[in-house]
Amino acid sequence: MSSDGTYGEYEVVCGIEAHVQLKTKTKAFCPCPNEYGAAPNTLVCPVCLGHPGTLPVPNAEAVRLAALAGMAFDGSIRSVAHWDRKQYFYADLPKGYQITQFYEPIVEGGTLEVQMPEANGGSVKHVGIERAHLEEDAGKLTYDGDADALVDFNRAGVPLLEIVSKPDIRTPAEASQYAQELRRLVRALGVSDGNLNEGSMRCDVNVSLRKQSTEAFGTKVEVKNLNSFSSIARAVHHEAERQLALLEAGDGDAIQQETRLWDEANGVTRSARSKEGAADYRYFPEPDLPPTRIDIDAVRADLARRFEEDHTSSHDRRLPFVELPSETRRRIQSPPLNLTADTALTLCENPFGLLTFLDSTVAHLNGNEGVIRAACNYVLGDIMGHFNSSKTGESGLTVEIFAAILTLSESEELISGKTAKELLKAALAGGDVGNDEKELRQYVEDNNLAQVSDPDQITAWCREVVDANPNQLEQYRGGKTKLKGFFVGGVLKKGNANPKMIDSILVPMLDG
Amino acid sequence: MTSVARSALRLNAKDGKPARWGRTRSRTLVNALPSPTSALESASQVTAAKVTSVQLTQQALDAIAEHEDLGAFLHVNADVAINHARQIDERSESDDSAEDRPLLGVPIAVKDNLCTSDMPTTAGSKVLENYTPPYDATAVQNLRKAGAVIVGKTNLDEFGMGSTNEASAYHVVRNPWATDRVPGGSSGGSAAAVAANLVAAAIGTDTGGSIRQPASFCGIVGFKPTYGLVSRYGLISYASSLDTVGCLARSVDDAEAVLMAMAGGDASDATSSYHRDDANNTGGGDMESTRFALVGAALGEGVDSGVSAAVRAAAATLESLGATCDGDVDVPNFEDALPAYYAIACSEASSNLSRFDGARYGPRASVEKGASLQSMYDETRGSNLGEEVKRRILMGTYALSSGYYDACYKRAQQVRTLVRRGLDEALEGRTCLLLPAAPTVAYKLGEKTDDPLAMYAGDLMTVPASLAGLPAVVIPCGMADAGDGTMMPVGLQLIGKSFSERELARVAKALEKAIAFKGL
Repeated sequence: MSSDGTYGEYEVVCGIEAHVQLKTKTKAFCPCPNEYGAAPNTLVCPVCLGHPGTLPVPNAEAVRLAALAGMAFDGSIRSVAHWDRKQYFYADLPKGYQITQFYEPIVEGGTLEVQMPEANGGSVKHVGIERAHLEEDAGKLTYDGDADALVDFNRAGVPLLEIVSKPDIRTPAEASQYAQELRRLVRALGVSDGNLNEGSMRCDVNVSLRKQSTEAFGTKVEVKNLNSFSSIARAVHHEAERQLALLEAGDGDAIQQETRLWDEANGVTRSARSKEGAADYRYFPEPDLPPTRIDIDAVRADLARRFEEDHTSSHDRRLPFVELPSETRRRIQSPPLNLTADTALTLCENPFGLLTFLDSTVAHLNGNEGVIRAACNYVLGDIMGHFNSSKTGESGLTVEIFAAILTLSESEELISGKTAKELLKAALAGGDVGNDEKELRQYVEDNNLAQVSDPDQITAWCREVVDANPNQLEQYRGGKTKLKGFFVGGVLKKGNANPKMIDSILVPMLDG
Repeated sequence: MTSVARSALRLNAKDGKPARWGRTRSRTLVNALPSPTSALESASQVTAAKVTSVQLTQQALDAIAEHEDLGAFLHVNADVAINHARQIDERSESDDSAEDRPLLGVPIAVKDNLCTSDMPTTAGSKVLENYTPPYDATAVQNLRKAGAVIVGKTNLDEFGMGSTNEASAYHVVRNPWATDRVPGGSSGGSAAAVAANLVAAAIGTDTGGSIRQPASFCGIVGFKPTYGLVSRYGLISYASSLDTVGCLARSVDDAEAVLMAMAGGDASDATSSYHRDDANNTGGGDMESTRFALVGAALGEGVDSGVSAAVRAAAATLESLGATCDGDVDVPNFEDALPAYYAIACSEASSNLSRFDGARYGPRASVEKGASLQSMYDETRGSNLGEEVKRRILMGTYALSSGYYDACYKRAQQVRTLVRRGLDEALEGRTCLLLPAAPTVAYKLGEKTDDPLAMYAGDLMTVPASLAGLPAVVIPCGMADAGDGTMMPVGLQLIGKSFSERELARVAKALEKAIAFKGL
């Protein structure tokens, strides 16, 4: 692959089908709990086991969540949901058919705004959404050592939203980033957990190559079994390389429309079944379900309920009450935060609630650019570091204390940066440094943490250190300016002096 | 009824055979009961404590045992039935009012494609042999709430697919009027049980005529409601968009009461309707305001002359009662209903029956270890599904296949719309349409077994109302020569507007009274 993502004289054409489990209380068509991790076959009933005579009843919450996701990527939402059956025999499919939406998907069209990391150019890419439809998940097959297959039907009937992108993706990195953005979106909306390792989000990629600057598509190959974002990128890359080798060898006909499975351990794709031999799914309208009316007002009311605690800002949002990840990124890449694209990508997911924390702190500080930059740096550095290494995921740091530390160190320069870091560390670990700015000041005073900013005192200390080290002074003046650190260290040994002031007083003194 | 039929029935009844399912009999009490008793009459006697439910239930169990050779039942659980009856008898006064429990203590038989948690439910198929569902069908639940005692499960054509009951995987059912003849199907067991006075009423299901045609063949009342009036939850699906649950009884009163006891919207069935109140609305109709027409296409060629004569006579009777007859009308697309019905019903059936794979319930064919999943499916389905079921699955699979979908399934749905429109048009300004329930009277066992197309043609008169989702009631209107001198009952079918069950029942009752058909 070239640095621009092309393969020889070809470019990748890739689309992604993502299956996202919707975070409903109950399954799509029966009242069983929709939960992950329960003992096998404990979350089942006659309906999701496909017992004779049972009938599906659509889960209105699943329909609402699907509509919500569709609104978020600006698709058009159908006012009436129609259901179809997709038929095939398999041990994980209790009824011998899956209830889905083949003829009339609940969502059609839309776009997902994908921010590429700086290492991949840092541009913003718009990937089209073809459609998104509701369907039910199948059970889960496991194989015991004795070659017997075991089926767990806890997952059977869990609502899925299948989101199909347009073939707009051109590089492995875009494929991975599209999937990550989709996950950010469904998580921000609260419609799915989006856990790839628990299977609550599963991505299949369709990959083909075509000559650059041509329109016609090549033969596409579907790759399944992608369990991480990195495997998505690796699989697209590998599949492109495989197809390129065939094309360059003049053996392009060997590229068949087929399904291949990603082999993570060996980093290759392997043929699973060819489409020629694929089943005819015999789709037809589900006669057990009349069309379900979708009340967009109810979806909006639901939205308001879900996000009633987060209606603070009224930016230019697509949806009321909730800021989409792309909107978040735009906002935090602009003043006052002015974060970089990569930082924005990290923070827009609100890891450990840090974006919320940063937003609250900034609102609390009402400070200048320097203070805000310091706040960002602390959040992305020390504070995120604390959470990353913390097992509990807890911290004792409050917005009040964080803002107070910043005020004392950055605005007033009452304490040094070093002291600020130590206070922050103590607060994060749950130590008592006070509950608000007043108490923090008291704490600083009681523990003698204030730095000396008296110019006379600092001048006196500087003079003492310079005078006590004539040899080093000579070397410094002879050009060995690195020795400045030696003198600064000497001053700090005298007392808790303001480092900035040391600099401004010491340097002229050294320079003579 | 003719002496031929009566003697045939006696010939096949095993007098004196020990009751297979019966408990200790209380002969005297049973014999002291007036028999046959209507369901409503029985309920009022139980309510008034003039008779016990245990007595009624035991009487039914004894009769069922006595007429075991009719083949009407697939499962009878005397212990469970007597227990339920006893609970009803031991009820406290405050437990119920007659209004809440219109069927108090009445023994009722249920077609074996309706799920019962206390008795096996096989749908007449080997693929569900010994299967007992983990739940009761909503219709069964509603019957129990109304005070009914379920005495047993009646025989049927496998999954409701058949018109003679010969397609039961277990055994055939004999027509009580002439035991060498079919009772009709697929609710043949229910029809035979009611006609032979084993129970006052039995539940049937009707997808394309499965209540109406056997009611006609057995000389009893059969009531198929508007699609959605009775919940399908717990009815083992044949064709979801056509399946209805209804009733067979010896009087319109009984059929109506049992039907309404089962009716009502159900949260478990998204296609069920909350129109029960509309169905209850008689609209204050009287004979002077009753207007009807005959369906011309159902009285011409291919219809036995005895059948059309009896139906025309019934129409004249209705007119003589004060109703206005508009004569024969042309119902647009009436004859197109049959192929459309088979395309749609088989398509849905091919899908609905996919779940019977031996994996989760029902017998599983033993295949050698390491054999493919596919071979387990092939063996299980190949050996446990009957010929007629396989034929319809194949037809449906074909109709839904890519490349045929538009020409078969989709086109059939378009025809269905036209059939519905045609019937709506013909019903405009009228109370009901009159036509036979079947073009012939009951034929002999084995006569059409090997000629599926001839058998399908017999559904010509029942499938239009099914496609349109309209209610239809069948009442016996006379006897006709079966061709060999045997006189067999003829059923008159009345098709009404959506949710006009009460209106239909009103007209049917007036006719029933005037015709005064003598049952067995």
